[in-house]
Order: sequence, then structure tokens, then C-alpha cells
Amino acid sequence: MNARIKIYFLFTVLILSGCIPAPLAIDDIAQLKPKIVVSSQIGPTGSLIVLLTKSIGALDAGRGTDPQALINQIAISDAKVWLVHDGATDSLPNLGNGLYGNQNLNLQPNHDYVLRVKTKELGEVSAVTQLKERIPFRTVQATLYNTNYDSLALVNYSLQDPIGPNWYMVNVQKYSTKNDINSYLNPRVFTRLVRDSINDGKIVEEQFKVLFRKFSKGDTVAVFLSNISQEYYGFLKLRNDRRYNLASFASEPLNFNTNVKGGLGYFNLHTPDVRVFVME
Amino acid sequence: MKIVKAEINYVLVIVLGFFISLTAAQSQTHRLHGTIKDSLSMPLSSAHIQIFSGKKRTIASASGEFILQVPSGIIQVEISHTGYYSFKQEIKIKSDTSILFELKTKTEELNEVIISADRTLQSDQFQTNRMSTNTLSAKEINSIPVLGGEADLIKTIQLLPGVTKGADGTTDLFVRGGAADQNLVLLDGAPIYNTGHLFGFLSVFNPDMLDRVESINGAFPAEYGGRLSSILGVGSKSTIPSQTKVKGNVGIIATRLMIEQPILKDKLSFWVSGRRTYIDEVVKLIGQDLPYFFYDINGKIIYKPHANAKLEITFYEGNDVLSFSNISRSSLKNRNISTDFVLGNSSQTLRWDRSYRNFNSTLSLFHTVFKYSIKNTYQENRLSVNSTIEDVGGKWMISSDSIKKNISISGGVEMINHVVAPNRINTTGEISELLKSGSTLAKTSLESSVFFQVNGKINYKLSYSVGSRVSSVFVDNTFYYNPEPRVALRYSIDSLTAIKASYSYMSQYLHRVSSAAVAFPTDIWYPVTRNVKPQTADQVAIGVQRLLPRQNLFVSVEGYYKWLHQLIGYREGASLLLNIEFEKQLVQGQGRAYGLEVLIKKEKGKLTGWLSYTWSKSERQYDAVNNGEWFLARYDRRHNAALVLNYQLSKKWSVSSVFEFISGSRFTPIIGQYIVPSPTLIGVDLIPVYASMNSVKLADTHRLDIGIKFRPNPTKKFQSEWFGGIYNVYNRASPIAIIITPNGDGSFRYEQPGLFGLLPFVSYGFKF
Repeated sequence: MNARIKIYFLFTVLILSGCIPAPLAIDDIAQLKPKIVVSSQIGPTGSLIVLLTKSIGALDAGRGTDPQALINQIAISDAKVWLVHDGATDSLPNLGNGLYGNQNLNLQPNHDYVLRVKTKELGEVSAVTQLKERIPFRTVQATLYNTNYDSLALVNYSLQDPIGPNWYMVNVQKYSTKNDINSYLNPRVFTRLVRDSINDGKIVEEQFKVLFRKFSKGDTVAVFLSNISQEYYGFLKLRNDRRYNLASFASEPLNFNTNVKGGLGYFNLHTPDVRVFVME
Repeated sequence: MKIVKAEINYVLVIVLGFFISLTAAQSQTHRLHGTIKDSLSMPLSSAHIQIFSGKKRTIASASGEFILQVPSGIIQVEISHTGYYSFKQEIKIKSDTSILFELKTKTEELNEVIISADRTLQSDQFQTNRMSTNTLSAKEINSIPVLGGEADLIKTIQLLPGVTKGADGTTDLFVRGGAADQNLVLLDGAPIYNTGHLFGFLSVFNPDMLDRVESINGAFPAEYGGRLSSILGVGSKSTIPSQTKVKGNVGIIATRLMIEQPILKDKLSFWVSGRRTYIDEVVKLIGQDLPYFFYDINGKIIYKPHANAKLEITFYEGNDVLSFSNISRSSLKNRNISTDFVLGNSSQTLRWDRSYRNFNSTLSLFHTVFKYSIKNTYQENRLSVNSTIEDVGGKWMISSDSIKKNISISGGVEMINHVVAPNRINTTGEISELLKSGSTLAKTSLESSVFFQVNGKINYKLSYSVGSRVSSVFVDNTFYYNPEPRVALRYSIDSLTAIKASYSYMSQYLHRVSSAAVAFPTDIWYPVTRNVKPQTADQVAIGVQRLLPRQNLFVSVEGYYKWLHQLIGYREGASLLLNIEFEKQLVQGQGRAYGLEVLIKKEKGKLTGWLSYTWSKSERQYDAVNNGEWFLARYDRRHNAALVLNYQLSKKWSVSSVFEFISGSRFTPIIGQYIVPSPTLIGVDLIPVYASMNSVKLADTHRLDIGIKFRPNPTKKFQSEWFGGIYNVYNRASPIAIIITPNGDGSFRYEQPGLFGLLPFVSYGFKF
């Protein structure tokens, strides 16, 4: 290549690249007023645990934030929490770190439960949900699936679907000693959502690959199955759709739905069936 | 010595006397009193009168009169007035003379506002019933500095009143509060669906072939329909040259070449024009690969069998090609990674103009295709996407100005058959778990319209254009139709001032499925369906236009209000890219837009250019969005001003500048977040909370571009020019979004990035 072409090329590249202008600052965006955020989980023994936190501003956390420090910062520790069901009211005592729970609840499937939360700073919120019947795996197997380029997990499972509309959540979680602090914030759990619309009352059986994760021999993998409410299914589906959207930056903005009146998050009652595998 | 002196004095006296008498004879003048009227005997004030032999000029008074002292003998008089044919004649003056001059109006001809590269002025609109129409000449388009130095029709239109641009550098137009897909772009009568190269940063219209351009933003003539907000008509060159002409340009983005060739004198000719990027070829020279290029090919055959008939056959094809398949980078080949992307338009048109004694007929037939193809391979995953829209259509229009004095009529029919086959997706490998193979249902829709319009004058002050278009579409065994009345009025306060008002109703049966925030070249067009109803709009406008002949200025002030019905929008969270079931993501609602536009334009003299200013507001309402409350449109930009100047320093040198100020567009930033435990309790997910829809304004945009043009040989047959300049002189970002950025110390901040900063350009053009 002669010198003239080199000069021309450099000139062209210089012109095409131009100067990238410095981004402009903006500091007058009104931040979200703190709200009570509700999350819930039923433990293996039938206990109910509710996590109460408050929402934060857009600039208060992000990639690199220590999740434990964040929870400590936003946990609500002065709330009064009750579960109202079938005319009875049970209180959920503070367990610390924003957790409230009670292991002496007699939770019954297909019954409605009302959660009431009262705080000094952020007022009151409430939410209603129905405890879904626990559906266990009929069969389940997780194995390694190797391609020329990837090493994935392949999950086979089946379940006996009860008559009536049901919505299922199947989660796959790899446990690794390499997990660092960052992996606990937005850990990208693989969630597969299943409806029984074409298998109502029949055996639901399928196989899927766990994409975008690398699995190795010896990894411990847990597979979870939960029978969830239609509303929670919708909430998770929206999150899934956006997570795997090929051009999420071009999607319309979305505020996720909530069943918490006056607050955020989701109050749901479902009892997962968990199976653990060591990949071979 | 004294005798000699006396003789000399005598001779001097004689010579001096001779010259004095000669001068006296020459300067014997007479009074020329002229009265200038139009064909309705209305006095034409401010007409320009020029006497060539005496180099005298004057301007007619308010009563259309003038008085000049002119020498006896034959003088040449030229009288000109905007909107009228110039009068030029030799007159023999023997004594004081009084003459009535009658100028023929261009009104009838200008009912079709055809903007020609070299002859039509924005101020010509003054005499017509038309308003809300922007005009540009090819000279204006080619003289102002733009991104990359490549003259760009759409970028120039973005500097005119009523037009707002989208993200920096893109070719999207948002006209009078409308959406980007509400503009019908026609190239020689054929719709062009994708107007941008380089992923939207450069318009597809090769500036060499431009001849006629019209951008109608309101007061739509009945012959036009199909979109709610504007009609952008682009006509390519249609004159038969007397000799071979060659024109070319070498710029930093692309190279162009155009050849015009007569075949039969004054009867038959053709031209062909091409443009291509060559950065890929340049990069190859240093052993690297940049596998992208675009090209355009335009061509036309012009045949005039006789004075009253003309046939034009036009061809256009333009493609953007990105292909990693053919490059030799081993790292990609080893990992089996490749991408092939081809996107392009093509159109063919046939136009037959025929003039009979009492009427004119124009028949246009066209075929146009927009398609793209993406083939991606990533290891064992393959994704291919194909999308096509193909139109075949025709329009027949007849017009006559001989039905009755001061009345002209026009009418016609138009039909377009759209065949849409979008989003044909095939996937193999793991990606098929995420994105299933499938396709959106292909559709065929037949749009048809009949239209008529009457133009006339009630008296010498008041003229009108009244018409209607009845449009319809047949799709999905469903038939929609809409009567679309159109009215335009012009009231002449005096010969320099006119008030205009208009009402028009428009329907749209085809829409682009695109993010409200960002348009992609791969956005698809889709017709209305049984569930998605046609969009419609009412628009009223009122304005004042005034000519300032002494200053060569045209001033226009217009206000408008537009109601948008069954406006298509998207559900909150909608994701449309590669979504074959996008119809479920659509919502329909309403919109309203109103504004005030000012244009001051100078089209003659050493200094030319314009000042435009628009104040506007555009709002939307959908039941399923923003809790059903009204919100500002994404590209609601309250103030929009541009100052465009071009100064001819000499025959060889000229300088130009563009200064633009636009209020920031609207954005929906993240204003909060909360945590929820992941479903497996291994960690927590941060869930964003967005502000209410479009509630935050991005920073205002302002930018200065400068250019200088040098023509070393302006009078020679081979003419060349160098055009250099700087885009965005002071390197200010034009924000496109609000993002959250880490500060590095664990804290975060908002910032607004922009795309194009200071960007110098240079180009070399020639013609012979």
C-alpha cells in the first residue's frame, strides 16, 4: 500500500469517526418516592416468609452494588405484618433483615390469603393471593448436553396436571463455588413458564435446554417446580420476555404489574418441589 | 503663441459643443406611465420594472402604477412579479407614453406546486390556494453543509417549519405532531418505504437526480392520500438535454456519477445515475475488512413524440449490504460466525402525460418493492429473517381549466395492491428454543380511491379549492372506506398579502410496526386488519403569507390543529423486533397536535436562505398506556428553529451555514427500582420503575454547521467545485436517551449521550 492510500485512509477514518461529543448531564429527574415492596416464599416446612423492603431511586444501586449491603439498607424492620385467612388473623413477627415469618400457619391450598403491612414511615399496604396446590415432579432428570461449541444442561421432566387451568414455573439453578458477590444481584435464574392449556388434566412432559449458561461435569444443579397463580405467571412472563428480548433497548418502557395495593412487588403463595442433581 | 492658443480654444469650444449637443440629443427623455394588472384587472403592486437600455428600475405602487423617464427610441422593458409570468418586450418611445401591462398568472399551473430545481421558489406559493407546503430547490439542497457532506434531501427538509426530526442523524420525519410512518414518500409517484441508507443516517435520494420536490404538510389536494401527516413527492429529472451531460461527485461517504444522453433531438433521451459507498474498498487496501456498502441506481427514459405528449419510464434500485460471509477473517470462520444482511428498495414507474384541446391526462403506473433478508450463523445456531412488501398500483388523473372562466377541475382514480409478507423467521439450533420458526400472516390489501377537485375564484380577492377523495381498502374480507373532504381558501388583502385557510381529512390503511423510540431499517409495514382499524386525521390550518419584494423576502405564518383518530400505538413493554404476533402489541387511541409555524425565506440575491421557527405540541392517549391518561408524544419538541444561510462571495466562492435549535424530545427514564428475590432464592433481581410516559424532556439540541464552496472554473464547460465544512462545529451532543452510568466509586449518574459530534467533510464535484 503506498503512502498516498495510507494518508487517504487515515483521513477517511478520522473524518468518519469524528469527535464523539461528551454526554450531557441531567440532574433534575424526580426520583421515585419510596414504597413498600413485598416478596414472599413458603418454606419446605410450610412456613411463610415475607420480605419487606422499600423501593430506592434509580441511582441508588446498580451493577456492582453489594446485594447484602443493599438489603440491609432498604430492609423495613419496623413493620407490623398480618396474614388474614378464613376469618383468622395471624401475625408475622420480625425475623430481622426485613424478613417476617411464621411457621405455625395452617396454610390450605385453594384458599385466599390477605397480607396486611403497616409501617410508620411508608404507611400501609395489602395484597391478596391464593395458595396454589403443590404439584410435584412426576419424573425429572438434568444431564449435560454438549455441542461442538457449548456445554449446556438438558432437563427432562413430567408432571401430573390436575383438572382446571394451572400455571407452572420451572427454575434451574446451578450452584458453583465460583459464584461471586455480583452473581447474587440479578443472578439470571433460568425460568421456564408452562401453561396446561393443551394438557389440562393430563401428564405434562417436556424437555428443554438451559441456554446461555455453561455447565460442567460435577456441577450441582437444582430444578424447581411450582404451581403458581395466573397473575404471578403473567408477572414472570413479562420479566422473561424482556430478559430474553433481542433488542430490549428498543422495547417500550414497562412498569411491572403488582398485586400489592399501594406498594410494589408480588405477594404469592406457592410451594416448590426441588430436586438436586450432580451433572455427569 | 497667442494665435495658436486662440485656435486651440476655438477647437475645444467646437468639440465641447458637439459633445454637449450629442448628449442633449441622447438624453431627450419621455415619461413612461405604466399600469400593471393581472388577468382579473387587479392592480399588481410591487411588480419589478426594469428598463434595460437606461438601466432603470422601479417598483409599481400599491395601485400597480409606475412612472419612469425613458429615452426616446426603442427600449426593452421587463416586468416581473412573483406568481406571474414575466413580461418582456421592446417598446418604441417617441413621446410621453401610457401603457397597460397585463401579467398572466401562474395560479392554474401552480395548483400543482411543482418545485423545480432551478425555477420554482417558495414564494410562488403566495399566488396559489396552497399552504402548508415546503419547497426546496436542488441548489439549496446542494449548498448547505450536512452530515458527511453528502447532500441530503430529507436532512434539508428537517430544517423547515412543521417538520421535526427523530434521533440525531436519522431520516425519520415527524410532521405536525404525526408519527414517522405517517409520511408518504413518493419517488416519481412510487412509494418508497425505506428512506434511509447507512441504517437510516443518509437518505436514499441521490441528490444528482433530483428535479422536483414537494413536501405537503397540510391543505392536501384531493389527489393525495394514504398517510395522515405529509406527502413528500420527489421527482427525478425529466427534461431532454440538448447534449451529453456528465456530473459527478466524490465525497467521504460515497461517490456519484450521472450521465444524461439525448438520442433523438428534443424527443428522446435517457439518463442514468449511480451512487456507492467505497469505504469497504478503501479498507481492503490495508488488508482489513469492513463488509458494508450501499448503492443506488436511478435511471429514466424520456420520450416526447410531440409537443402534447410525454412518456417517462423510471427505474430505481438501492440496497444496503452487510456481509461477513465473504470476508476472510479466520477467527470468525473458525467459530462459524457470519452475518449477511441485505435491505433495499426498488421501483419502476411509467408516466404518460397527454394534453388535448380542453384537458390534460396523466396516467401513472408503478411497481415498488421493499425487502430485507438477514442470515445469521452463530456456531450451530442459524437465524434467517425475510420480509417483503410489494406494491403494484396506478393513478389516472384528468384536469381541465376550460370548463368555465376562472374555474379549473381535476379528478381521477388511484389503486394500489399491497402484498405484505413480513417476518418470515427460520431458526435452527439452540436459538430455536428462544425464537421459534414462524411467520406473520401474509396479507394482501387493495387500496382504491376516487378524487376530484375544483379550483376557482369567487372574485378578485377570494379564491378556493374544494374537493374530496373517497378512499377504501379491502383486506381480510373486510372493507373500510372514508370520504376525505378537502377545502382551501385564499383571501387576498392586497397584492402582497394573503390569508389562507384549509381543512383536510386523511386516512391511512398501512402502518409501520416500529418502536416509538427508535426506528430500525427492518421495521415492517403492515395493513389494517379486521381488528386494527384505519387511522384518520382532521387538520385545520390558517395562515398569512406576505411578500416583501424590496427585500426579496417571503414571509409565512401558519397555525394548525390536528386531531388523530384510531392512532396506532404499542402496549407498555411491547417488544416488536422479530415478533410475529405483533398485532397483540398494538393499541389504538387518539392524538392531538397543534402549533404555529413561521418561515422567512430569501431566495434571490447574494445572500439566500431562510429562518424557520415552529412552536408545537403533540399528545397521545391510549386506554392501555399511561393509565389511560394523555401524554406527550416521543418527538414532541416544543421549539424548533433553524437559520440557513448561503452567501455568494464571488463567482468562485460561497459560504454557507446552518444553525439549528430544537427542544429536547421526550423520554421515559428509570426513576426508581426495587428488589425481589430470584425464584430460586439465590439472589435478588433489581426491577426498574419508569417515570410516567414521556414525562422527561431531554436536553435541548443546538448545532452549527458551516461550509465553504470553491468553483475554480465557473464559466468553463468543465466545471468543478470543492465543498468543505464542519458539521456540529462546537461538538455538542444531541441527546437520544437518558442512561444510567456508574461513576466508578459505586455511585451512579444520569447522562444523555449523543451520536454525532464535530465531523469535518470535503467533497469534489464536477460537471461538463
